[in-house]
Amino acid sequence: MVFRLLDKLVRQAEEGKSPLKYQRAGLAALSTFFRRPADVTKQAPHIRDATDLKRFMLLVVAALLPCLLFGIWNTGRGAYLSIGQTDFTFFDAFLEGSLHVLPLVLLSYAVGGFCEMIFAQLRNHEIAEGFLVTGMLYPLVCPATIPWWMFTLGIIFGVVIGKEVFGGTGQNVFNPALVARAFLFFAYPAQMSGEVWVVKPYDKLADGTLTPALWTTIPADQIGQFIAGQTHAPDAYSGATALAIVTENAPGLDSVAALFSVFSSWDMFVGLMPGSIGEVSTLMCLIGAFILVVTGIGSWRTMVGVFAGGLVMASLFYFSSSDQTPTVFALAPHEHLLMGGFAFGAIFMATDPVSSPLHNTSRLIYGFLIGALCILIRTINPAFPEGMMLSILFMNIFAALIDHYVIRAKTKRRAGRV
Amino acid sequence: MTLVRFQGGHRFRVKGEPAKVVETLEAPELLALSPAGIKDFKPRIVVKVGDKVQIGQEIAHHKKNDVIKLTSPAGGVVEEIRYGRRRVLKGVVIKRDAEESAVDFGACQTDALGKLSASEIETRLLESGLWPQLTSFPGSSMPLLESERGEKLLAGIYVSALFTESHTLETSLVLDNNTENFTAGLLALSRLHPNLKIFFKQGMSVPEQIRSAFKDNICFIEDKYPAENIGVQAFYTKRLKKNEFIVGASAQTVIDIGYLFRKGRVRTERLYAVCGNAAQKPMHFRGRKGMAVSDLTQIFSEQVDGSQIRFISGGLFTGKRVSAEDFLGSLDESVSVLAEDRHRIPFVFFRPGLNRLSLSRAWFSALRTDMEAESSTSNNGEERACIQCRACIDVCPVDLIPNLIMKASVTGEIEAMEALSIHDCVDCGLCTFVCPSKIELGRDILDGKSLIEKEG
Repeated sequence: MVFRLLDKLVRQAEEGKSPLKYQRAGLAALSTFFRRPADVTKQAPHIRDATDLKRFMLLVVAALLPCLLFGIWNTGRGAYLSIGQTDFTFFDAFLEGSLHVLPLVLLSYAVGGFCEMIFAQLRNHEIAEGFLVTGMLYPLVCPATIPWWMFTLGIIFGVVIGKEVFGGTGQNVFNPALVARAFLFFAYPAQMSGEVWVVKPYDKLADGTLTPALWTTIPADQIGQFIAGQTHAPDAYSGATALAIVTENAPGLDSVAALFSVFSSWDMFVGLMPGSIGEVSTLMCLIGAFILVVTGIGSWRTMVGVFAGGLVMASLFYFSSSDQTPTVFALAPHEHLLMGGFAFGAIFMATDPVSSPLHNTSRLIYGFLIGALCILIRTINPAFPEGMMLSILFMNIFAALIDHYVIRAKTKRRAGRV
Repeated sequence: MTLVRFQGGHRFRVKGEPAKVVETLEAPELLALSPAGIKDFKPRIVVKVGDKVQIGQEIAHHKKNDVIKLTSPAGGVVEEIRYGRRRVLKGVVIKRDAEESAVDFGACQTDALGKLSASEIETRLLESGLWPQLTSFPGSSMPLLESERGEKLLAGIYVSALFTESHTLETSLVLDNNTENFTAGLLALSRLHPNLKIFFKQGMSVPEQIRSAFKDNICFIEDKYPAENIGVQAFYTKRLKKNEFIVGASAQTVIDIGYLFRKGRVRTERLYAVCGNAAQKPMHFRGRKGMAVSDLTQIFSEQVDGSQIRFISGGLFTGKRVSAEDFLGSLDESVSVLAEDRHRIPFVFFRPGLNRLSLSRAWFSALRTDMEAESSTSNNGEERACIQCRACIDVCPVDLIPNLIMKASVTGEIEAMEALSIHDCVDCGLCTFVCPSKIELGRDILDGKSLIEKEG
């Protein structure tokens, strides 16, 4: 069968037969992906738990599926709405969204997997399963309209600089998907912020018919010029995200009122708004959280810590808001949790076991500081409407430090008891 | 009669457990004295081929201290002295004769037994060859003799009259018809140290004779692995100081000791459990000390190809590999026969997993309360880096952080290992069992302990 042929190729690669020997890591990974390895236990204990890293990562991917599926539909929905079309079916939207989102997912796995394969081959290790999750997380934190070349650069940076240079899965200090996203954020800020308008202009063919061209991103200040220069209205455009609206600090503008004139709390909870593919729907994130906590894969302590920290910090701003403070201070604390990447980051990014601390108490502290820092960045700093990515990356640096003190306190207590 | 509860651990239900029936086996022609499994015992053999020996006669003693002896399990003629790889002594093989005479150590009445001093008990155990059947914690080797202890203090004697590890004996069958011996053995051990504790499984009905004689010493412990581990028992009843150690005895060892004092002879009978999915009839057998694995395995399936069948002496978590020709030593009481599971299940990690053995909730088997898992030797994956998933921490019965100890051990950081209380580790193997990255945590922690001992 196919499996036997694959195993024969793996064996030949391991024996060093050129040119197969350069494909050893990739072939071995395929072989163990499709079928359980034949390894038996070498020493006591003679039996082992059935859960391995592949199962672990698969459950995280399963928890991300609600966000992915909703994100596909929402992308399609956004595409239709922005050209003024409201009579589209669920399947229309899903199909339209799939055309934008699924290629990104495939690209993420293909390019990320290729980078992993090179490193595994050079180090003579096996390809680790960590990228099964990174490959799914990364597209979900990017906008659907991101150019493919930009997307590819991001994942390469994330996998190589965010993970492999540290030693691969299990050794990374930072969450690799967030490193990739941060790279995009700092290298291509105009395309990544919520101020970007994305249009799909028309091309006029020789026979006079109009055909929609590829998506183009236009900086906000040039949109007026661009539309004026077109002979026909663009095929589609998408507007600013909820966070972009509410953190706008123009004189005389009540940004909170402006926000609720466009989106209701329910819209934001369900995710009926523009944004990155997987981040918009708090509801879908909570379904994912349920899957992670029920299976024991994701730490509820981290998640609860993030939400608690966010609520506390947002409350501080809320209760100190006045006429002199920026209008975003007056946003009700619980609304913060529904916007931007807060829920997604709390549930899927902060809970990455490798980059988060080990001890249960440390995880609570870590989560709390992430939530608080995120709201702080969002509210105080006009240059960063979204603070989640930065606050998680920042706390990743301190994860080991928090652990150090918590574990030292615990071991001192234990030594004292003897 | 307290109930001891402990954190972590797990109640395993694995197929291949021995049936609760006992069959008596005829004594084989050849029995052997094997030092296998006795940690740190370096044998110097004092008999030669052709010598006539009695049951209980000295066959070998410990090179470092010749009062620690191993004695003959049979009466007859020394047939062969068998060595394995690297001149490791596999066994001194004795051909039984019809009468099987035995050394008389002098029987002892109960009241007299109750008045013997600790050193008198120790001497009797040494000369009869029963001393190496005792273990100690920390360390799991033979207990230090009174003369060797120096600053180390004996803090108690812990008797485990229970089995929770998969593929081990049934306690009630061990105690059946042996309560007199068991009680006498407990009395002898109580003379070694007043702090004698006897652990039974929660819910077990203790035989009346034992209950009345040792009411204050009996403890019950939660029915989950590794409840029989004396390190766990000590952790939750009397935390050991740095210079303290405890002595452990299994139920059969206590019976052997009681028999020695009551009858003045070394007991030759032993109850064995034969377990595993490659055993034709997993059940209990009454046999002789010093039998070969193959004497028990006549009852096994025909396949004996080493790559297909694994023989384990001891339970599935702490047992060691043996081969069919090996002899069962004084610490061996259960043999598990498993078919090696190299089956490459397609798309294994996509399956719902209604039958998969796991302590995590990653499979649908977590919803079942009645499941008996396959005793598969599959590693269930290849070794990967630690991802800090906390599975090892959550299962550790003595509240350690195994993955940090592993990292300290691998990098040789002795202070870090000490700070993480590596000496509290009871070597139950649960952290290695659960690790999804398939890291050999138990081996790394043991290496760490050896490093500390060497550098100490």
